[in-house]
Amino acid sequence: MSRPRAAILVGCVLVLGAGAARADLPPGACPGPIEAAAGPLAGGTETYQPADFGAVPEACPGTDLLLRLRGELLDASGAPEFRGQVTATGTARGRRRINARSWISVALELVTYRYVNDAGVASNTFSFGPATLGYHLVLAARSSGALAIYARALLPIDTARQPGSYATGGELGAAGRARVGRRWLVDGGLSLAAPLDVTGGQAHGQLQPAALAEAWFAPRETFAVFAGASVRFEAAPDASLVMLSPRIGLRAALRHGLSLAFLAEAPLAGSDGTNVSAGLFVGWAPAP
Amino acid sequence: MGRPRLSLLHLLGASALAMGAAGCHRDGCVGGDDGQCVPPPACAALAYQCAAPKLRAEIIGQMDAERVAGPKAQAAAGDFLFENDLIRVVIDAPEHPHHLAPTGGAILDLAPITPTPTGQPADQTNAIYHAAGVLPRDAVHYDSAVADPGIDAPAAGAYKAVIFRGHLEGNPKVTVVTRYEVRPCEPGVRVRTDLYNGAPDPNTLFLTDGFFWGDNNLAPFVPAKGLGFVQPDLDLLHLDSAWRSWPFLAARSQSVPDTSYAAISCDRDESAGFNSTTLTASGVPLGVTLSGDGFHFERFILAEWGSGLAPAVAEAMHVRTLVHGDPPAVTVSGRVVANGVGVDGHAGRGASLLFYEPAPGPNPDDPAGITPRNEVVPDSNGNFAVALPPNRSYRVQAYAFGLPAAAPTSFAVAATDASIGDLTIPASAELNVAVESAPGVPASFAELVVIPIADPAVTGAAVPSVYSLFPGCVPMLGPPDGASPACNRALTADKAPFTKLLVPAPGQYHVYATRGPFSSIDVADVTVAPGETPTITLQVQSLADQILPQGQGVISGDFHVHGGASFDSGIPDQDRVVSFLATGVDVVIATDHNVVTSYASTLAALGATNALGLISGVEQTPNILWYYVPGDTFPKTLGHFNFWPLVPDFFATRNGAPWAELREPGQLMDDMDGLFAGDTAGVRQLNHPYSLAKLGRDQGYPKAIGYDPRDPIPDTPTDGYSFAANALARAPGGHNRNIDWDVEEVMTGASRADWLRYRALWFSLLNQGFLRAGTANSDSHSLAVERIGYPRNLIWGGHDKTKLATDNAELASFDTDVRKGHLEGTNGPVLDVTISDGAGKIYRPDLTVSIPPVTSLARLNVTVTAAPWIPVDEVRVFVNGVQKPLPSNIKPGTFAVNRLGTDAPTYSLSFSLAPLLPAKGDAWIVVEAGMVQPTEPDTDDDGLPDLPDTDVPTRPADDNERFDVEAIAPGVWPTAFTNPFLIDVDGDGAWTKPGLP
Repeated sequence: MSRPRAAILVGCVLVLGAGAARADLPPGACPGPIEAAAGPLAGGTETYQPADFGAVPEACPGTDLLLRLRGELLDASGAPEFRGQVTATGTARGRRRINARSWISVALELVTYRYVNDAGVASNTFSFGPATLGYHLVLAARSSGALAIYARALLPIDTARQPGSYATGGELGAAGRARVGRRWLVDGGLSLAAPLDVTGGQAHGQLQPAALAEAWFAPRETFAVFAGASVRFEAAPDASLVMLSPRIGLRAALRHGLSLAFLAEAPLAGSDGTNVSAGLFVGWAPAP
Repeated sequence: MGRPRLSLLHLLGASALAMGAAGCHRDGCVGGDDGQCVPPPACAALAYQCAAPKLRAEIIGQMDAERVAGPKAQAAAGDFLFENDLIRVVIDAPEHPHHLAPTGGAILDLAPITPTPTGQPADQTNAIYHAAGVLPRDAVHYDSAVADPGIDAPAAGAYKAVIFRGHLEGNPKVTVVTRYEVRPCEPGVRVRTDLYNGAPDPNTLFLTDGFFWGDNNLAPFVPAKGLGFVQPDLDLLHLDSAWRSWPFLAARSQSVPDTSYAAISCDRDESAGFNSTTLTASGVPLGVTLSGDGFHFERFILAEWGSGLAPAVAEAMHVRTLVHGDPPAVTVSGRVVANGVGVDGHAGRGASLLFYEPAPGPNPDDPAGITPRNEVVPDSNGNFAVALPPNRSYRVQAYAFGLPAAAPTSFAVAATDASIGDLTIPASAELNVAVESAPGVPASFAELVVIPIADPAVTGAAVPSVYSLFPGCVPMLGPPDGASPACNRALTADKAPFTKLLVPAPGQYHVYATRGPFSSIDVADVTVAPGETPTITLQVQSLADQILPQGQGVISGDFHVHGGASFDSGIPDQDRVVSFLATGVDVVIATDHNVVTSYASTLAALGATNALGLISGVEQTPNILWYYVPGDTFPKTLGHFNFWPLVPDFFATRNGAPWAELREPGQLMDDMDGLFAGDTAGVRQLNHPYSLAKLGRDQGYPKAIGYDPRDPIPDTPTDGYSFAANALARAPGGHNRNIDWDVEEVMTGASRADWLRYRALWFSLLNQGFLRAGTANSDSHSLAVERIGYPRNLIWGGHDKTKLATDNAELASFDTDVRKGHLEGTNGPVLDVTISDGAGKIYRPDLTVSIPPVTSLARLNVTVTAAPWIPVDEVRVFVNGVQKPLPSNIKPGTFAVNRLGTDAPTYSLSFSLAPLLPAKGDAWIVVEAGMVQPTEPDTDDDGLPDLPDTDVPTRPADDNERFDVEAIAPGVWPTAFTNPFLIDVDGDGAWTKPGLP
């Protein structure tokens, strides 16, 4: 498909979707206010998924706030690599429902701590940013699930970068959710991220397709566990597997709109050498 | 107007503006190397002017004689040369790697042009190369270089530049582009390096200049609290403990030509890294560089002529004023006096001054709290001028002979130049020493050794050093690795009736004259008061006619020596050659690290061409860690092999030596095939097999691979053998195996412990049928740290040393005798050992001749001779590696009785051979003579003997038989050893290896 045709298609989808945005979602299509199985948790690594860039989001609209504390460990301290990396981030994300089928999201790395040891030469730094801004739209919904598309921009706010250097980018994707049993649910989606680094007046872009699939088991409405896997590639300028990573986690809906969640990922393969990453999520949603 | 509101639109708009602004500004190559980008000039704030600006740049052409003076200069055809009024700098071409760098693109030569005594610019640098970390993978690999023709002088803005493009050795996605630029009137080179992290991970990219000092040459200095010349211990596993930051780095030479250097960051207020006499890394402060991010590093690297550090520091401070806005330095002047008379600094030996800001607290001289700022050497009248930051309080400490010479003095400076008047130190004494070979006949060349009469270990006297560096010489008559006088030694030549030698006063000294182990010695005990100038006459006489086997054409040779061309040596060529002559060695093989050298012109200039046989060679000495040994954490370097004879090509990189990095020994040997002079077979020598690693760089091949001499070695790699044994059997390049060296150093330098370990390997190889000749060499790098000719080889064959440099047939014959083991090793005693078969036939050691079965008439005949000052207590006979009891031995009191005499004692023994031989199988025999040496235990079960610490030779009591030996060649344990006799004991017509016990 040529680029103009693809652009026209995307435009049509958005226009048609906007037209349908005012239609209410059928009951059961999306999680209830205290339902724990409420959609994927943003994971990945800070390198490829700063804030929530590149992370497959929820397929359902909502208005909420989320604070994520994420830690990553890369331990290649033995021969021949002699290196290691620890990253810890504190991320705030907010969603604001625009109407029944669409919403926007904003995510911001409030603080990022990096420790990088290259054969004994170690450095560490605290930084602020980057941020993302996203628009999400439910394209289709039925009583057993929903399908949404989204567009997201990586905003060039990152104090970790050298003066005159910034990272930006765009992302398109789709997220889906399907209830497959009384206590079972699957979700996931596709992401096509295009980060762009501009440094010293030169731009370097990438194309990174990714996919996520996970299954949720909710023994109670307010508590759910999940397991799944994500895969991320670099399609351009070089073709390579970035990461194939299983993921597990849980979420519990608490009182007063609060929720608590945990995500752990342990990459198995790919150029991203991270051994393990884990995130703790604290969420709050106003009463409907 | 309504209240401004931050909307999403505002945010996006601001972001777009920021992106646009940044995106429009092309900043060199910090965004990656697209093949077109060019870093802008570094250090834009620098501005120098001069009356007659000069500037030239060129790629050195074939047969261009463009090398500056000094043994460190290694410019070759194809390298990039820049020269202005003040400096000449050479950047090696990408395909010309040196030292730690995987490619060229490093500063190879940097020499100030200010007139030296020879009127030539003189280089003291090994290399200044680039890296972004400490591992070999972090070194910068340059693929290409393009000269920028720039603007010719005297036009305004004149410059010449060269752009190198590359990447990190281990990661091509991290691109590096460096611009070197030279402008008229500037005392240094502007350098800007742009690095872009195109790798997916954030990294600590410590972009740095690696100043490869090489251990024994320049003394680096950083003006920071608790530092100066003091360096934190450098441990590669704990680099953080040595990490510091500083406003600039400087360094001064230990040796002539007197040169100092400085490096100042232009785009950062401070540089950071670690500082040691091996390697200083001075680069950007540590930080995380994200994927897709990049940065630049600008610095000015300058060179100045003159003694001490002050010339470079003054210029470095001027650069900081221009670049960083530091207040202009003030010049503090004064005079160093003794007894009211100005003291000649003698290049820092007689007097030097260290200026520092006092430490806070009660002790202003607390080394951990002071901030050293500068060091200066007074001129011949005692006058000095030193640049210091203004508006501060200082203390100045005078030094002489490596020790504080007076109490520190305090002073303060404002913002203008000032004089601090006279600084008084005690006067030194000056010995006037004449060395004669007979009464009234000056000795051609000799060496003086000065030791205190009272043992410093007993008196607890302070240990001199170069501001804490290079300690160990008592007294320190000069920097240990520099020109004569160095450490406690000095060279004499017959051109001057007296050698003038400054010594600390008051003092009591033994003053020795020596001409090597085959000459007599003389010693005078002197007591000197400040200002005294006593005259001493010493006589040394060659005893070679008495000591060396007569009528057999025996000459002595040292097959492993280094001079200033080696990265870890600072000794000037002239002193190096005089040291050869003074120690009485007949043949020297020049084996500098990774460069083929010759001392022919220096020898000729001394009028001594026929006094010494010179053979050019090389020690292939890798510095890049790369070879993994199972079970070891860090990779290894494999090397330290000598090769000779070679022909130096002074227009080629490394003078024609192949690149020694990333090669196994077999490949090093492959590289040399066809390079030996005159198409001879050449000699490949394994050096110091079990020498310890130095800052991670392995120095002994068997040590590096962990070979245990108890392990059998297959002919080809075979399952079931140890890793190291199979490594030895490998032919990594398809031709030579790693074990295919011709000769092995059994004795290297003075270490008694090392000799025993190397001997264990040799015996193991002989038992396994790997017949390699054993050699004994000094591995000398200076006058003092390793003594030339201790030990040395005696080579049989009637060779004419005067023809070795010119006659390929003579050279080939000499090398053949070396390979066959027609030699013995000695650090003093001399053995003449034969086997007589009882039927009139006499055999000498030979690795290619198998002695037929012996009869009861066969005898082992041993004659031991030594200079009267060298003790010899016993003869030892080893058969298949096992020391055999002998029916008789040297009569006590034969040797080292009249130590200052001129009669060389001799003792002969003869044994029936048959009782020494095994009942079955064949045998090899090695004979030793020397001081008592029992078989030491292997306490750590590595297959090597371990000399107890209590047996490490130190200064003995004055009446000990080894006292003079320890004075002249510290650590030496007098020993001589033959090469093997091979005996076909079982009479099957062939010599069969006896196998490991």
